[in-house]
Amino acid sequence: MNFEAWADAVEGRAPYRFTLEQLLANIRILDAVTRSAAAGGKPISL
Amino acid sequence: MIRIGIIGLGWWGKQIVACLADSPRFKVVAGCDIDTAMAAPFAAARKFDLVGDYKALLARTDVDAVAVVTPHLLHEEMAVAAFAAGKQVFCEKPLALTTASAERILAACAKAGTVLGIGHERRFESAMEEMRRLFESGALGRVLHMDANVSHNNFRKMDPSNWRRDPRHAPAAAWTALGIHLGDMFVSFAGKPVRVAARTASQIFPAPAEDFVSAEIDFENGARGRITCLSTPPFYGRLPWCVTKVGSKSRKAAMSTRESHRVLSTAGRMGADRAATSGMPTRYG
Repeated sequence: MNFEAWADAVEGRAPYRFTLEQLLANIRILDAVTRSAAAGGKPISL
Repeated sequence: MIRIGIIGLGWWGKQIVACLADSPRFKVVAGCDIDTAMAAPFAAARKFDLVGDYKALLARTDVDAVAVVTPHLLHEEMAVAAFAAGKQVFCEKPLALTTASAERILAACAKAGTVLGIGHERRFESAMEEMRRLFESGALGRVLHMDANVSHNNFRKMDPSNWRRDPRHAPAAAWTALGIHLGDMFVSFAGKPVRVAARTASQIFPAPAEDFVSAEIDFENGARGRITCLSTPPFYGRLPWCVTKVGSKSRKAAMSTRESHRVLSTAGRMGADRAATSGMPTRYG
């Protein structure tokens, strides 16, 4: 279903369900999880 | 019909080829893997052209789109090159391993004006769709807290030299395999994250290999979240997938498979329950 949704967006039929802001926010979390864990659980402000 | 090339023909790349085989929307015309000897029988059986260098795949005019299904550290280089070549790009998760890397990919996407797809297919699972419907209907009220635990030991069986067990590609225990899907889910429900605190541990794996990660995430709208992933509990077919959302009006838990808390502790019982309930998603609450 994800590939179908992507195909719809590629062909201009519908916007893709994942916004670029969401994709970036999820990687900001991953980046912070890695850095926080490496620092023993220190909170990271984004 | 979108003519697609698959970059990376390991376990998941082959899965994607199989998944697209019957699609009326896609035709797999080419594939790429640095291990052409490994990939050649698969490419022949699936009737697509095989190359050993992804740049040769990007140079083809009969390829409209590519799926990047390679070890995580390679995603940025390949996605950026694909955008520069004017291709539509579907990238497996995680999109990137650092914020700066993700920003470079998104900048290349914006410049190319094509569409970036991402391998977070779990958003489309029926229990998660139902959770979204409840959320958007207002039945939950304001989301106060989200809690998720997704854990399995599938990668434990892999050879320790596999890149999926290499912390350069897969930092923070199972985050890039499991937690990343939950991060996507939480962001889709709660928006912008503003603070993260996470711990990892080596509970059973010999250090420095990590098998535990748990993170608290605060969101700008005041919602809180906790995501925990262990790499050691037994895998039993489909992934257990439990997300609980506590709203100001009600509380809902969604599980995308058949299990309940009652059987989560016993692998044998889980197998029995799976057989008895035929794999339909269940919603609790």
